Amino acid sequence: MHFIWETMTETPVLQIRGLDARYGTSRILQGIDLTVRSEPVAVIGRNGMGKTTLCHAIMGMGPICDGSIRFDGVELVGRPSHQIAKRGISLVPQGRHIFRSLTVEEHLQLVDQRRPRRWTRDRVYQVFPRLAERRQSTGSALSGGEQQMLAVGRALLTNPRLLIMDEPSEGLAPIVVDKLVATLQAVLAEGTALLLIEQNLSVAAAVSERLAVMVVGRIALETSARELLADTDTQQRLLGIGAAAGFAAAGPTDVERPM
Amino acid sequence: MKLFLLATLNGITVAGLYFIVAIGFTLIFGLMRVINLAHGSLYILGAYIGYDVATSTGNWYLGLAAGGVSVALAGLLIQSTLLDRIQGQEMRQSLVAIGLSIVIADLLLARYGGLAYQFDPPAILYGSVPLPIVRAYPTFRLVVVGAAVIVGLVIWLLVYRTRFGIIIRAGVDDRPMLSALGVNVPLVSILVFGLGAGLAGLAGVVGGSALSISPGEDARYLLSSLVVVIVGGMGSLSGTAIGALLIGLAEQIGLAYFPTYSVIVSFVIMAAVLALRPQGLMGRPE
Ligand SMILES: Nc1ncnc2c1ncn2[C@@H]1O[C@H](COP(=O)(O)OP(=O)(O)OP(=O)(O)O)[C@@H](O)[C@H]1O
Ligand SMILES: [Mg+2]
Repeated sequence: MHFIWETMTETPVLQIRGLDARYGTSRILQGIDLTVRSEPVAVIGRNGMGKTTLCHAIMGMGPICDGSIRFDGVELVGRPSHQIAKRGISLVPQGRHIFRSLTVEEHLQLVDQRRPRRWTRDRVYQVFPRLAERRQSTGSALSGGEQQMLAVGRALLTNPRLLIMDEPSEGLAPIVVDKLVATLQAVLAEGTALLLIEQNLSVAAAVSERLAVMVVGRIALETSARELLADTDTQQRLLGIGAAAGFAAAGPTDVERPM
Repeated sequence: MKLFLLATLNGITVAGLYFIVAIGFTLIFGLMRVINLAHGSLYILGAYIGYDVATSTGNWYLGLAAGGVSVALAGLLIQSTLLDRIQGQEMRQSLVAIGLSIVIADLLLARYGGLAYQFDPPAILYGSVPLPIVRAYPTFRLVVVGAAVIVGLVIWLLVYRTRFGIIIRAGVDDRPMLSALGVNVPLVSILVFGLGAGLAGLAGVVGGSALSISPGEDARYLLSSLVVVIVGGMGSLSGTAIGALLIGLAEQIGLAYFPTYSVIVSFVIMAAVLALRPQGLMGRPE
């Protein structure tokens, strides 16, 4: 009873309705409906299905959008990126997009609001001791795993209401992925909403019970992690994989992408 | 020996002046990537405004302040109304900036005519200092060098020791990401443009006092800024200093020893740098 009451009346953190997004004349997203409440949502799908475009549409980073994206009830479509970020959304982008000439410390200074908030520079260094050791290294000198920690730390330090992560496990060693999942679980426990984009089904399932599968610019299926993990037919049909492990291995390699 | 020393001193003076103009250009073009081909016009605008204010009030320092502040404001206006809305469209930005510089040049010609103006800095900065071998050297030229060093230090502190500087450097690396972290990038580029323009205006007053002001100077300083930034490396502060020194010295030493060919010396240096190190002496490869 309590559960139903909550889902019926709570204003969703993020509510996407009938979202179309295009680059020039190519239509990438077609009629996306997706709602994120306090529980995390993971979007999975194969290469080129439009997952990153969805992140960019939400953040106002390029694609031309029709339809509605509401954050805490406020319409985001048409707003510039920095205003969207200021409202409390933070993106950990695919390819990490670490500033190559800034040091680790400068990355954190850049977003540090210097108000007593949940996330402070000290706490980021506590959670990622490796970053504290690399404090004075520039972005270009960091390893892929260190860059990903920094991208996550940078996003958390803005103290977002909603965290969007675009394939955070891409190109990382399994041990680093485990560490990332543990950090995410801790973040979620504090009440930050999460929209996770993943190709790695086991990572998505470890973080989020709710899954949405994207196929050529549409949400083809909304399901639970438990159901999808058990249903290899559907995995095969929508994700083109036989097993979760095979899917993870088929993920793209560690490359920088234009945003 | 005396000739060489004198040419060297003159070279350093000119380098100081080129540096103050070019460091503004480095901020605007090298870092914010705004193709501000009106930079020379901002220099000459500052010179004339400084001249007017200094001669009418009798206070050179007021002229200096007026030149710097009014050109900084003009810069804010130019960037926010004209150039920022076509950011990233290189050809359009170049053409708009060139058009703007033609308009400014004509307005100044109508107001001031084609004669060369010169105005004098206050007495303590004027006169000459005794030096060995060359015997005496104009004090104000040494002041120019000191001013260049101070400007260089202040800009370096701003870029490498403040949060605003972190934002500027982050914007060079990845603008969309910087916006996605909540930074109003267009506002930042307007402020940086204002700062760079203000430096050009200041340099105009200083240059107008050390040398002279006349039509055509706009093209000269735009060209020298371009050459300095290309030789030093896009967006590098130390590169701008090295480039200014190199070009200033080459120009003055060339003028002293082979005046007929002195004009091409800077271009020979630029061509050599482009051939051997296309990103400039201190630039990083794209
Ligand atoms: N800036 C752009 N301009 C034009 N087309 C683009 C642009 N960005 C992406 N696309 C196209 O949009 C489609 C979806 O790309 P997107 O990056 O959103 O996919 P994705 O699901 O994130 O893929 P991946 O798993 O490889 O990251 C692709 O066909 C891609 O070529
Ligand atoms: Mg993607």
